[in-house]
Parts: sequence; C-alpha cells; structure tokens
Amino acid sequence: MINEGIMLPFYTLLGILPIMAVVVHALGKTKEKFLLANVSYIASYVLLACLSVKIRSTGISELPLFSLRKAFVLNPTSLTLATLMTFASHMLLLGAYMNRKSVMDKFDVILFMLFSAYGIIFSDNLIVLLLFMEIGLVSTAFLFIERNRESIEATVKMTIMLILGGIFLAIGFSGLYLILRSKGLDLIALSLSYLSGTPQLEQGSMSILTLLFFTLILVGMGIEVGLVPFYMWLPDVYTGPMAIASAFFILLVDTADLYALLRVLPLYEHILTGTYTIKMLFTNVVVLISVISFILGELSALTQRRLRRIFGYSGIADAGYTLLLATYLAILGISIVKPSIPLAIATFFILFSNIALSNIVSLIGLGETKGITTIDDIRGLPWRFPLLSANLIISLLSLAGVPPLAGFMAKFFVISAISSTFRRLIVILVIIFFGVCAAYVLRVIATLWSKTSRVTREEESVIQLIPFIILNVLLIICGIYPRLILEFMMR
Amino acid sequence: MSLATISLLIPLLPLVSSAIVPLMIRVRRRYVELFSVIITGISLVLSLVLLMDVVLNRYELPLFIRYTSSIPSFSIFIDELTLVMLLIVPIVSFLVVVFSLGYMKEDEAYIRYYTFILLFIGGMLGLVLVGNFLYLYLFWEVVGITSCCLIAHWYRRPEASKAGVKAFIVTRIGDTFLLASIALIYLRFGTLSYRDLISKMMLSSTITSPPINIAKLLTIPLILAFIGAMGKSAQFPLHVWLPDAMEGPTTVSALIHAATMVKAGVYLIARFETLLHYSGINPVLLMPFFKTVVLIGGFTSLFSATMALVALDVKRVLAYSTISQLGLMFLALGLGGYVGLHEAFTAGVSHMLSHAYFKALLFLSAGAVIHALETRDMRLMGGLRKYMPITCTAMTIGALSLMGFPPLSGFISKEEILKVASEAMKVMPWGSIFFTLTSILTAFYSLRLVYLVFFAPPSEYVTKHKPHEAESVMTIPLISLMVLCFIAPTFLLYVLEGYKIEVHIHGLLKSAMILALGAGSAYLIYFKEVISRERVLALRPITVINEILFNGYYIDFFYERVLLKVLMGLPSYIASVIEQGINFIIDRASVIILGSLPSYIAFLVDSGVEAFNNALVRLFVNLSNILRSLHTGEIHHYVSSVIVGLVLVLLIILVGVMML
Repeated sequence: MINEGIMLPFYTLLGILPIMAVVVHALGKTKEKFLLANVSYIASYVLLACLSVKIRSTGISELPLFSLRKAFVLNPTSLTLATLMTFASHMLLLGAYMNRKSVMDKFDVILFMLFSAYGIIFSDNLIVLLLFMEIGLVSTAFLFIERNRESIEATVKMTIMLILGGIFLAIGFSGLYLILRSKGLDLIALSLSYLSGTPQLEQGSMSILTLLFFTLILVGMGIEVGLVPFYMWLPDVYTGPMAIASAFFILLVDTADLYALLRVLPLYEHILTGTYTIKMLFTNVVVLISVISFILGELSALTQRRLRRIFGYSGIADAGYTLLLATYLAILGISIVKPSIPLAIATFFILFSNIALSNIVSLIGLGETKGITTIDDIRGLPWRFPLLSANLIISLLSLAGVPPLAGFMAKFFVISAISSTFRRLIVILVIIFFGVCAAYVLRVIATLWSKTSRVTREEESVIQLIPFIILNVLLIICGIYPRLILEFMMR
Repeated sequence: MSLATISLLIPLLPLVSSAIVPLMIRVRRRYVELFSVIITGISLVLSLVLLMDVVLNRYELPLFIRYTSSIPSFSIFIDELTLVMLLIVPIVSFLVVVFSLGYMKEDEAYIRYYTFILLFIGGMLGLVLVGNFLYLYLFWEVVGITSCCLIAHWYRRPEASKAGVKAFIVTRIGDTFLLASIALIYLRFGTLSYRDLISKMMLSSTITSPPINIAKLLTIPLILAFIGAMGKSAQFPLHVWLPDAMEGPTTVSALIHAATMVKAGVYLIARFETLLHYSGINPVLLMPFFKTVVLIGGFTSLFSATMALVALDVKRVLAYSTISQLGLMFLALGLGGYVGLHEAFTAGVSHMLSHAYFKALLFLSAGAVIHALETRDMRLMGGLRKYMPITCTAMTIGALSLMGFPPLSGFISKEEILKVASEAMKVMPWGSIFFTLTSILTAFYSLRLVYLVFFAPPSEYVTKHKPHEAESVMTIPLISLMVLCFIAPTFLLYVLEGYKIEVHIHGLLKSAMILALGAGSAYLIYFKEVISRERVLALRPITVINEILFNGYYIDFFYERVLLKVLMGLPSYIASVIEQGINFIIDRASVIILGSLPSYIAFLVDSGVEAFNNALVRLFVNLSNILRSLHTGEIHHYVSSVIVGLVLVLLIILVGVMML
C-alpha cells in the first residue's frame, strides 16, 4: 500500500545523497568534504529513524518512482539493514579520515555507493534494482581506481564481470517481463511484491522459457555476488584496490547485492510453482551452485598466503551460504517483502559476516602501511601493535564463528535454518566448511601470536582505531543479544 | 526518572564505564580517577533514590520490572533483600573507590585497576537486581572473573598470579554446581524468572499437588546452589582461595573479599529463601537443605575462627574472620528451616549488612597501616596508635563491632543470630554451639589484632619507618564507615518489614558471657600479659596446635600436593591401566587363539586412523592448492568461466527438463 506520509522522508533520503555527493565533489578541502559527508550520514540516520518510526505504525509501504508504481518497498528488515549498514560505513568513513587514507578524496563516491546500496535494498522493481546495481558498479569503480597497476586491474576485471552480470540480469528481467506482459501486465509485473504473490503460471513451453530466463537471472546474480563459477573477480577486488576502498565495497555494495539475492532468488518458487518438478530441478541446481561455492571459497582460503585474499575467498563462501539461505526462503515460500524470522536471520547472516569482513580488511589495510601484506608479516603483531591486533582478533573470531560474537549467532542461525529444510548431507557439509573457515581464521590468529625474533612495541594511536573498536563492540553486542536486531527487523 | 529507568541505570552505568576507562589511556590519571569516583557516586545516589522511593512510597514488594519480552526476558526484582544489598554494594563500592585514590596512587596500572573495579561493581549490582537466574549466573561469572583479575592485579609477583588462578579454579568448582542447579530448576519448572518460579512453586504447594513433590523438586537444586554459594563465599572445603586472595590490593580485599563478592553466596541462599517465603512453601519440607546449610556454615565459622587465632598477616586474620562470619550468616539462614524463614532471613541479612560495613572498615584500616608501613606482618607492627590515631580508632571500632560490642551494629546483628539459634536449640543444638564457640574465638582474635597492630610495644621496624596517618582521601572513607557501623541497624528498621531491634536479658547475658570469655582472655593475655605468651607457645602441644592452625589444617597442602596430583594423574593412570590391560588381553588372545592377528589389526587401526587424519589434511591442502591454481588472474579466463558456467547451468537444466 502506498503511504504518502513516508514518501517525503524516503525520497529525501534518496535525494540528499547524490546532491550532497555533488556538493562534496565541488568542495576543495578534504576537511570540508569530510564534514559534509558526516552531515550526510547524520541526515541519513535521522531520515532512517523517521522511516522506522513511521513503518511501525503504517506497516509495509510501497512507493512509486515517477509513473512506476511499486518501485520501492519499505519494511522493518530492510530499514534495519540500511541503518546498520549506514552506521558501519560511517565508522569506516571516520576510520579512513583518521588514518589519512587516500579515499579521503572520494567521499562523494562513497556517498554514491551508499545511495546505490539504499536503492538496491529498498527496490521493489527488478528494473529499479538493476539500475541501482549499475550505479553501485560505477561508483565502486570510481572508488577503486588508483594510480597503481593492481587497483586498475582489479577495477577493470570487476567492471567487465559486473557489466556481464548486468547484461544477463537485463536479459533475464526483460524475458520475464515479456512473458508476463503476454498476460496483460505492465511494468508492475516486475515488482517483487507482486511476483511473490503471483498466481502460478501454467505448465508447458511458457514455463520452460520462464525457467530459462530465471536461469539467466541466477547467472547474473551469481556474477554480481561472486558465486561459483562466476567468482573470479571477487578476490581481486579484495586485494587490488586500497584496503579501505575494498572495505566500503564489501559493506555497502556487496551486502546490498547479497540482500538482493535473498529477495530475487526466491521468486522462482512463486513464478514456477505451476510446475513442481521443474521447480525441484531448479532448486537442486541452485543448491549445487551454493555448495560448490562455499566449498571452493573455504578451501581456496585455506592455503592462501596473502591476507586480504584469504578473506576474498571467504566472501565467495559467504555468497554460497547466502544462496543456500535464499533457497531456504524459497522452499518455505516466505514472502520476501513482509518481515519474517527466516528473512531476518538470513539478513543477520549477510550483514554481520560483511561487517566482520570489512573490519578485517580495513585493519589489515592499516597494517599494510607498516609492511604487512602476507600471513608471515603478521608474526608478533600483538607485541608490535597490541590494540590493532586486539581489534583484528575480535573481528577474526566473529568471522570464525566463535561465541559470544555476532558471527557465531549468524552461523548458528544458518545451521538451524537449513537443518529443518535440507538434507542431512548439506547440513553436514555446511558444518564441515564452517569448521574449515574457523581453521584458516584461527591459523591467522595463531600466526599473529607466533614470533620469530624480538619485537618491540611501536606507536599506535587509540583515536585512529576507535571506529573499528566501535564496530567490534557492535559485533559483541549483537552476538550476546541478537534478538535486539532481529526484533527490529521483524517489528 | 521512573523506577524502571533508575533500576536499569544502577548496574548499567558502571558496566558501560568499565568499557570507557580503557579508552582513557592517554587521559591524565586524575581524570580517570575522578571519572571512576563520579560513576560509582552516581550509582550510589541512584541506589539511595530507588531505596527511598520504594520505602517512602510504600510500594508493595516484591516489585518485578520486565524490560524485554524476549526469552529469556531481562527483568529486575526488588524486595527487601534487594534493598539491603543496595545499602551494601553501592556504599562500600563508593567508599573503596575514594580510598583507592590514595591507596593506589603509586600504582601504574591504574587503567586496568579501575576498569576491573567498575566492571566488578556493575556485575555485583546487576547480580543483586536481576529477576532471572540466567542473568544472575551471567553476573555471577562477571563478578568471579573480575575478582580473579583484581587479585592478580600485581601479577608480576608469582604469589599474586598464583592466588588469582587459585581463586578462579576453586570458585569455578562452585560455579559449575550453581549452573547445574539452574539447569535443574529450568528442567523442573520451565522457567528461571523469579516471578514465574514463585507462581509455579505456589501452584505446586497447593492442594492439587502433594507437598512431597516440592521436596523432590527443590532439594537437589537448592543443595547444588548452596555448593555454588560455598565456592563464592569461601565455605569449607572451598575456602582455600580467600586467604591467598589477600595478595591483591587491600582495596580489592575490602570491596570484594569482605563486603560484596563473598556476600554473593549468602545473597543467593537468601534469595532462594525469599522465593520460598513468597510462594508459601513450608521450609520443613526442605530440611535436608537447611540442615546442610547450618552444619557447613556453622562448622566453617568455627574452623576458620581457629585459624585466625594464630595468623600473623593482618590481612590473613581478616580473611579468616570473613570466612568465619560468612559461616555465621549461612548458619542463620539455615536455621530458617527450624524457626521460620522470616526470622532466619532477618538474622542472616542483618548480619550481612553490618558485616559489610565493619569488615570493610577493618580492611581499609589494615590497608592504611600497610600503606604506611609497607608490611603485613603484625610482628613488625605495634604502637601505631600514636602515629595513626584515626586509623586506630577505625580499626578498634571495626573490631568492637566484629566482637559484637554494644551498641554497634555487630552487636545487634549477632543478637539476631543468637535469638534464632536459641529458638532452634532443641531441634538443632549445633547452631547454638557453633555460634557460641565462634563468637568467643572472634572476640579473642579481634582484640589480639587490635593489640598487635596498635597497642603492642612498637617494633624496631616501626620506629625506623616512622609511619604517619593516612591522607584525608583515605581517612574520610574510614570515618564514614565508622558512622555506618553505628547506624546500620537504623537502615534495617526502614527497609525490613517487621524488623524490630529487640534485645532480651537472656541474650544480653549470653553476649556478655561471650565477650567476657573471648575478649576478656585476649585482654588478659595481650594487654595485661598475665601469662607469658612465649612460654605458652613453647609448650609442645601448643606448638603442634599452632603449627596446624597456622598451616590451615594442612588443607591447602592436601589440595595441592595430594588431591591435585591424584586428580591430574588419575585419568592418565586409568587410561594407561586400561590400555595395558587391553594390550595384554589382545597379545595373550592373539598368541593363544589367533596368533598375532588381533595386535596386527590393532596396529592397522592405529596407523590407519593416523594415516586417515594425515590424508584428510593433505586432501584439503591439495584441493585448496588446486582450486587456487584455477585463479589465473587473466580476464579472458574470467569471462570464459562465466560462459562455461552459463552453458553448464543451462545444460543441466535442459537435460533435467528433458528427463522429466
């Protein structure tokens, strides 16, 4: 239902970011850019808070974009995700500024990334989703590009791959639209809320076509999030650009894309329900891709020596788990628009995995200025930089799934979700590869604590680490009391 | 500010502040100290506001405030016991933090110190306020861990480090039993919330359920919880950590090991008694539990008092005294099964309150002495009343209160215990026996303590050191506690429903007799020297007894040299026995029946398992290397993988469709 009382704050939220980005771009001094970027973030908090309060009383709201009805949908899950993502990226922004990272010149681009993330999270229409994904791609490319070979290479690879992904998505969405238009539907047919309530399509050749177009959508989304076999660009993106730039990508664009996967993929359950066996076939293919993704991701990380690359592969594994969760939502027939416990726990997983990953990558980036790039370089780090090491260890432990951190709850939710729906073999595989993840993370931690020669304490600033400390505190709080977030997501 | 907000802020402020203090590492020390004082001060003010609000507005107790609807829900439970604890924890915490400004001013690790102190205070306040056993356990652990960290504050000294580990291990034993108790309660009642437990217990004790069920349901969890309390409150045989815990700073000893943390066990048992009282359960049904509490509490009180008679370390005397007095509190609470819950509760809780103040006073006074003289050995003290008159007065008043000298608070609370012990005399004579003997010994060692520190002839060490009175930041808390030693019973009048200060002639006579025997003999032996102490100590039987008491009945020796070795060695010994047995059987059987086949199979299995492990690791590593090698870094390979992937997926789907 379209709620006009929500339109103003929502469009202000969407509108303010690109406008502020342009203004930031026009400003000369870094300090002014930083201040204005902070103002944009504060404005975002306020507007998100207004929207959250409104949603509590009005319920789920659908919003148009020009003549396109149902372009956006607001629900508590997406608002909570957006809020936490905003907060975490704000911390990264502060961290970048305090540590004098080169992204300080690109606050405008970061605001655009945030804008694209909002668009992806709140989009209700597949075309709008694709549009914001492309905006995300462009802004990420601008953020990554630096005057060094590795970052240029990573940017080019990412751009090419994501353009390909966008093409597959465009073809898939268009095909779907054509099929549905033959039923007399307009662009509203591409609305997620509409499609998740769509009556079943009849059997026959039409359903095969739908299946083929949906496969293209799956491939397109697979490229966007880094599923196997479309994953190869993802580790490069973790290693090539500046660490803080990669961290922004992980937190904003990657998280939003994974959330989009959670919402788009389950549509097949509603669209293909007329043909049970075809739906089962598609489910099996999706599960196969997800299993291969997390197996490949975790195994590849196991013997990796470059620190950021280890976590790049971890990102691939997380994409695999997310796809599995999306399939879980599909099998349950969950509405991807209305808040529900399965959607909330899946969102919890992607959010806190990516917060941990972005924090780890940022902290490694801080270490890179001191010559730390491979796993051997971190030996004795706690003695050299105790506070940096402590922060890194907390984020690593969260990623490994050690209680009482958020990563443990995230993984626990994944296991409890899939154990009720999938075969025992899948559950066992997930548990084993969570164990593999813990193994390579703990390998990093163990290497941290080993030292080959005398190491002396070097100077480190507490103030510069405060944003990352705050993110770790968030991981701890949400690990001890995950219900706090889940209740917000389901209210 | 609503009652709910105040109740939440009381523990929350110090908890959150404990996370802020480490971030103040670059801030000037004075500000860190001031911050800590302010936070504990605010918690104190809020506690008093809460207390006054509840008392003046005559809220119907107990009050249950629920904050979340999740399971387990976070809630706060306020009744008379909570209010008494709010008279203890915030007041003593604040005074100790103020005292620390002077006592710890030379200590470089002040950030760590204040972090753990604030975390401890928050944990303790949370523990007494929460209305759910799960959260109680959480705060119980917080309090335990911070206590161990504070004991080992000067960890570079091996004794301090060892004491911290010892405290952790011993209290861990008790904590495990408490966890088991909580688990059993949940299994049997399906809830850990105090309010819901009261309702369920009330239901169980009505006509529909025969009363025998309550005994079956509650006896074991209560006994397990009591073992948990024994660990925290240092009752025999889990008392060994408390004397060693004196290695920590004296402020830590005053706050944690005298006034607050060790009371957590007493609080736990008192809490159970309040729940029983609210649910109307007849305590007679739970006699095994109450008997256990009386006997262990009483035995510990006497046993520990004997060790205090001969200790030479001023803090050790106070540690043994604390164990002993805690035993009396348990004794009082345990007598609830004989005289009624309300009377026993009043006795135990009033002694808990008065003990907190006079024991904190004694510890802080000892701290002032140690700070001045840089020694804990009482043989190196003496004659300090000339140099430290305020501290002398403080310690004397503390000792008099401990002895039960009227009109101090210790006298009032001991009268309460004496009253319940006398009432239960016919059915539980041990209560009276333990109380009387302990009180006599308490009076003796208290006076001995004061004499050796302040009134004995000054030693050469004292004359060389020329100590001086503590600075005002240390004496002000002493003076405050001295006042509290007088007015504590007044607090109880306002807080405990039906509390009356009643002193009967029979009780007065008994107290006078106890004081006469205990303090009188100490006075004659030490002040008047009617007999030569050296000649008495030289007697062989006395030397042996002295040795046994000085070494704590060799219990520590038994734990460390015998029990620990047995417990650590036993599993491997049993394993080696079993392994040898199996090997023997296999060898013999294989020789006699099947030749060498079984041992060959065993060998294969062993090496197979190891080989499997190695193979698995190699497999994972090789797979990882293979998968990594797929990543060439060439963009055309990336695009190719997309196309190949797309083709494969489409192929699988098309083949699947065709097969359907």
